Amino acid sequence: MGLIPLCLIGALISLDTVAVFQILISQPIVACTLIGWLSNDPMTGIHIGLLMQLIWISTLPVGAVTFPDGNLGAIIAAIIAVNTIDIIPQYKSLVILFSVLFGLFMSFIGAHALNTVRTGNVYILNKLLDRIEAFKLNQVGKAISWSLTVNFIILFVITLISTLIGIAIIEAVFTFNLTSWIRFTRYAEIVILGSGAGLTFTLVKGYKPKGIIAVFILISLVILQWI
Amino acid sequence: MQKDILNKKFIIIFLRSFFIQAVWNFKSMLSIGWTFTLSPLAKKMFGNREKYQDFLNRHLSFFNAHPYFASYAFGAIARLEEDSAMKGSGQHEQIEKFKNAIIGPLGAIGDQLFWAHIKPASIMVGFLGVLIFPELFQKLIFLCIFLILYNIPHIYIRYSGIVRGYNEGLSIYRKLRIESFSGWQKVYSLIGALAFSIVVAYLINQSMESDLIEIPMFAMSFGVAYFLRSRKRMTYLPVFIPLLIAIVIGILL
Repeated sequence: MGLIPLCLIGALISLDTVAVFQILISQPIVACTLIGWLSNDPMTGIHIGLLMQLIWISTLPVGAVTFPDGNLGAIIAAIIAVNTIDIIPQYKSLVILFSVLFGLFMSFIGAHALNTVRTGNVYILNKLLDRIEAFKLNQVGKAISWSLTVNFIILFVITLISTLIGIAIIEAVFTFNLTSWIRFTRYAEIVILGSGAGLTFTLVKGYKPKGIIAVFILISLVILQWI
Repeated sequence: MQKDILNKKFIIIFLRSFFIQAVWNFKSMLSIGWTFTLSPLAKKMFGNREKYQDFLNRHLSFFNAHPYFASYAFGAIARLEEDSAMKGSGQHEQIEKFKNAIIGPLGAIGDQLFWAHIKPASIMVGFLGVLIFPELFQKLIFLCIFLILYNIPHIYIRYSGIVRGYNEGLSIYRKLRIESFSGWQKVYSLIGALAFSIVVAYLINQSMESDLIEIPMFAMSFGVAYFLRSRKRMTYLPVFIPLLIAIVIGILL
């Protein structure tokens, strides 16, 4: 699938994060797998999804809090990875790492984009109140449609531009000989997964549940060794 | 009221409730999505345009809640608005007071139950399957399990909340306690804890088989991320600091 349809689908999935449905199809392991599957490379999508999923589990979208849009970041990372990994297969691990780091950066941009949309929604609310005052009473549905359309366009533009930038960076940087960097970054993936697990563990409150999990880990480890 | 008319009403509210956060804004928060969900009922309830205009103005002012748990408020407010329309006397002040009072419990219970328990536990189960099983179709099955595990309570709360809110009316306020959902909370906590433990054990086990240095790397990143996040640092620092340490060690070794 081409880059533009992928970005359109990515933007559509991103709406699930907070705007509509919230059935969690925008979570990295689902969204990245879908992006990978649509690009005939589901395993790369899954790989990106696994690396980015744990990082965001402990981020709670509570109330008016501005939180990093990890789902959008993961989708962008997956689109970049599936579009570049075949060009330079010898640097697969570096492409994956770069995509994840770029996705983390884009999650920061995504948070600000969400704030912009929410600020713009105040304008839609004020317009709606004016229309109701003028006795135009069938405007609530239109306000929803307008907001979702604007939100979708912003997400699409961010996804497309960032993906193009990401791919351009990879194509420029990876023309150099980066073989030694594969060795330097060989612990990156386990560290990203470890950080994600550490972040997730902060959701566990109290000494007793933490102790129980520690026992579960030991038992699981013994069973895995035994298997 | 006839059962089929009631069910139709609940289904309309249920389907529209998926758009409750569509126009989330810093001034009135969920009010547009909230009004959008209740507006088909209000159109039928209020015969004249003045009353419908008054309904829109009242409900567009402010509302906030957990998006799924707002269903309890939808049901209760639909009932109260209906009673008010039938009696002919405006109980608007009471409705407004109830709406403002219910915001806190709905937010607190929803955040606690879904964001802190059901969501992480369901994701961990999906993550575990995708991580451990090698075949693509096995991974896809676990992604489906994750979505089912999450969306069963999600859809249930969205629909049953409307029905219970409608049937209970004002008294739903007394029944909205986190203890009422402790069963869900316990089950999902256990599922999440088990899945998380197996994921951590699997990663350690994989490290043992590939490169022993990966074990201290994993432990270091786990500890640093946990420590920094516990001290309210944003997500970025707990990821970047261990990554930087890992690259430095990668260069040195």
